[in-house]
Amino acid sequence: MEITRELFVIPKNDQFILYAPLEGSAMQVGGGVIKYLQQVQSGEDPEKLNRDLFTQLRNQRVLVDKQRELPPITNEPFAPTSVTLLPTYACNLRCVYCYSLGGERVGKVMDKEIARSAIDLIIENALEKKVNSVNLGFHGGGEPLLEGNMPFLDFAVNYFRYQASLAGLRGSVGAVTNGVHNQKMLDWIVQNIDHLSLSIDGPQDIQDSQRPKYQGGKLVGSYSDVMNTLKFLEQTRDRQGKSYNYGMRATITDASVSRMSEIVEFFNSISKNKSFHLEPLFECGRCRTSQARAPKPEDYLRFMREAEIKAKELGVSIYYSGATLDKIGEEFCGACGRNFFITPDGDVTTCLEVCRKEDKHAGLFYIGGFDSENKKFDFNTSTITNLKQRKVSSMPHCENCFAKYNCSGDCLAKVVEQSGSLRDPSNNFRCGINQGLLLDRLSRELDANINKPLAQQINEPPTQTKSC
Amino acid sequence: MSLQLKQNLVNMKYSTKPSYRLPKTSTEGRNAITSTLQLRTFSERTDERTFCFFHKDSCSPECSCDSEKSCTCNTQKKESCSHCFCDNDCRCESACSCDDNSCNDCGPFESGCYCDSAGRICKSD
Repeated sequence: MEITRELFVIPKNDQFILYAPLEGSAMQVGGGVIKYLQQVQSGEDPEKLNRDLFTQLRNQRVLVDKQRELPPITNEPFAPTSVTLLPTYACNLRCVYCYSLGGERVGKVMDKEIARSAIDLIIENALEKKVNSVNLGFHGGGEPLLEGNMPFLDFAVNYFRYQASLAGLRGSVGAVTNGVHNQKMLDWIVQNIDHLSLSIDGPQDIQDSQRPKYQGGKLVGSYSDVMNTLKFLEQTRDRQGKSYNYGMRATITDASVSRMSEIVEFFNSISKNKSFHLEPLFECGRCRTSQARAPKPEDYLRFMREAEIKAKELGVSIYYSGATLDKIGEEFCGACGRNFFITPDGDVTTCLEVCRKEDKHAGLFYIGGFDSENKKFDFNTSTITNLKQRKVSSMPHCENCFAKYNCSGDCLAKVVEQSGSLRDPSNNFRCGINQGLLLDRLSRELDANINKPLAQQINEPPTQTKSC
Repeated sequence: MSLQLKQNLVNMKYSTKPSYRLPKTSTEGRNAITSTLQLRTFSERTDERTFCFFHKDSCSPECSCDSEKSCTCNTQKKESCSHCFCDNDCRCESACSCDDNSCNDCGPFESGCYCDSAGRICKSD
């Protein structure tokens, strides 16, 4: 019997939180328990030392018979069963912080042959791997659901559903949108897209200043358009009377950070959703030429704490990608060599934030491209392997951080932009946010369990939420 | 509490390497576990999505495009197309839109747009 190798000790007032993320266990303990563990670590027999404590710590998997092994990096070939298409770099908005400079250097809409080949590939992979579902997504680049893209979108969705149904696979279609659409497009969306993520930054002044519409060479507010979309989505029902499945995501800037509670309250007033995604801005793309600035991490943490109190009052929750209690793993997201995202030009990237060939990090994330002659995708195995090897357990800076398996090394694009290395988050401004919010959440859950009989302290593991 | 590991999370020293391991220095305090929490155990994190399945029963997928640029729907030719693509109802793809509105999607350094077989293309100055 030994101490689980990934055990973290976090001081909390005159007590400590013991956190064993790989074992899914957290405890609030007195200093005597820490002393006991120190004695066990120095070689004393844990059972003889204190039988009761031994039993409890074994039940909580702080003491284990065998250390949990982390899954090895496999050499399986890249065989995605989901694809996300970036149909265009064109955009009807000019968001002040757009990572992909949507609306600039637009080029052409994705060729249908690229979509067709990608869909054929994921279906072939799904059949080969014997999985029963495939996913199609649309994302930016620019705004994927522009009316001008309709022929492409219609083709991709119909071809996907038909091929999936022929293969006996469950198929779902998702999209991210800025929400500025005419009625024809809105009708198309609710008929064709199973799940939509709507980007909206908050009340009118925030939305209009951060996400302006580009119309006739001028920047004008987008608030009324997005509200019209939101109202439509809220009112939409399927034949069973079920409401339309959509989510809302706000980018929090230095200008809006102090209003996070207000944003949550606003979202709650306009939507029946029970969870809202609030992500701090990372300065890249158009931030270089606009006044948009990231919030200071301490401000984001402070106002997120306030917003979480407000959310609790309202019976809703807030999602932030770097500090989830319900996701434990070694990879932050599918950018680690799993995603199959296709740019309008047919290049394959694993990261949406690196979707321009001229991006200085394209060499790290561009894992392949479409061969228009042979109508198939070619993949660069060594680039994929390099991404697959980016696991938090291989990142020395994170070695002793209690949040490591929750933030999973954090966002690859942000980490590499700040340090020049995928594996070095030493300059990552989100570390403090991730640690602070995770500690808050652990403390809150543990406080809620104090004085409860042990049997009632066994919480149901939370259900998995959406990806970042 | 005399722990070397104590860190000031409020000030957040991002550049310092955090350490939250079992301390070497001795601690005092109660030998008690006051609260426990069971969380999700380790699993390989996946890019799971929560999109629900939407069955589009109005779909007419037997529609296909042939070399004569005609829409063929359930073996019956429907119409000739200027673009080799058929829509959901086995109608030919409509020509892309190049009115002022759609050209607004082009970038600030582009003078307008035109359509070709690949769809709408923005023109550079």
